[in-house]
Amino acid sequence: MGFFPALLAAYTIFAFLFQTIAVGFIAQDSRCLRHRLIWALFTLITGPVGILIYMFKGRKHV
Amino acid sequence: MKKSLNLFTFILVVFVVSVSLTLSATGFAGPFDEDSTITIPKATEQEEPAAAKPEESSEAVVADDEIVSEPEDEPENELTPVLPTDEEDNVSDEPVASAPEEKDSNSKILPGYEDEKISIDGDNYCGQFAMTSVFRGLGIDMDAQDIYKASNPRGIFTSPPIIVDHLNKNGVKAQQRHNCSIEDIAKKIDDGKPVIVLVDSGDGTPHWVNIYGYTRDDSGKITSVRMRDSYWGTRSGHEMDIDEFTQAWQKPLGDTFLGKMLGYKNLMIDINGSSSGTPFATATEDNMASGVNEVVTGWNSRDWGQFAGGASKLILGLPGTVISMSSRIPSVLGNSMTGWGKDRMNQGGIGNTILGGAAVAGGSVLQAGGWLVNQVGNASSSVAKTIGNGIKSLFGR
Repeated sequence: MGFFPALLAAYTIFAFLFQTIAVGFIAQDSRCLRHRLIWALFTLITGPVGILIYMFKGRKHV
Repeated sequence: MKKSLNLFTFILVVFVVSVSLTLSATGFAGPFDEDSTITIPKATEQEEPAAAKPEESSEAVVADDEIVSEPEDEPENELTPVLPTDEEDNVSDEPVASAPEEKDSNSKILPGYEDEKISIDGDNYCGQFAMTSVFRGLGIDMDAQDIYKASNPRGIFTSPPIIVDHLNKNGVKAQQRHNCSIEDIAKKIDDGKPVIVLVDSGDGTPHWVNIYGYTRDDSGKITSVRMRDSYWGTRSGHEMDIDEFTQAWQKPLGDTFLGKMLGYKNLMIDINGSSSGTPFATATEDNMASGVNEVVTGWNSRDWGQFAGGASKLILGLPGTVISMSSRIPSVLGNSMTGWGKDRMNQGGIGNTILGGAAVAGGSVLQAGGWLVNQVGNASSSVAKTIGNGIKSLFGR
């Protein structure tokens, strides 16, 4: 596999991994305040933006 | 609620693993494999293109001392390397393309493209070769090497938006279009403009060519197209049979797995199109490919604006990529089911009709669902692409 296909394949795999971890984290997070499903969906659609907003606005901070 | 989310996560993980295994599987023919990129062969390893036909008007480019001299009875359109020559630098006296000339009563060939002297050395320059051919045909003096350095210095696949962007920035208004027809190409040539199209050069290797002529038979059906490119038409125009061209144009990535996953089909760079920009239908592919192009090119040339724009496209394009690529699996499955169902129905009999009908119905639902999800992914990728281009423009790119 050459340079470009390797990069593209790595990116695609990374994209799936990132989204899985991000949505999985929200799904399991015990500090989630409320609207867990909405936060998960929001992150699925917006990716890094969604998880970042969730970290600040969607979690209990003790 | 938590149970369903766990299930959702599990499905995602399974999907990721299956995609990873598929992409990394031995023998997986990636469309952009460097092993199969368009390489200008050395003089000693020339091969005759399958569809090459000797042309009376063919004329060899003067080559330097590395070129092995050709036998006189060799087809003039045979694949040979095009190497730099002193007199080719800053060529500006070539004819400028205008109205098509009729080679014979049924052929329309734009003047100025047939014998352009385009010097390139190295490999994987098909996009840059096609752009150079268009620029020179339109009377703009451009060198393939300069285009290469500006648009793709690492020699990776040149994505459609990169071609459109480079043409636009250098005075040629261009638009990317999909699902075009042969008649769309003929219409552009009738209007005096060439088109750049993406075809399969063999084994699922995508390859850019510049089309500047076509031939019709007595019934008006187009029978062949004429092209300049870095594989078949390096020295002069190459005539390709319409059936071969149609097949190559319809599946520029061949029958590979990624070819079925990506949506590029009958892709045309419309020179002097009605507007510039990239289509919505392949926003995810375009965003991914141009993001990778820009990150690599930006890093290579230390152009941090381009690098930041490309990185933004890739990072913000994460959701669009996941959603769009996920949607292709039901689409491909649905397509296969529909084809299988139609075959069953054609075999006749009550059982086959019921089974085939159910498969066609189920396949259509899968395709429709895949299409719908793909639109969501494309919308997300379009936003990423817009933001990435906006970041590039902040750096004056």
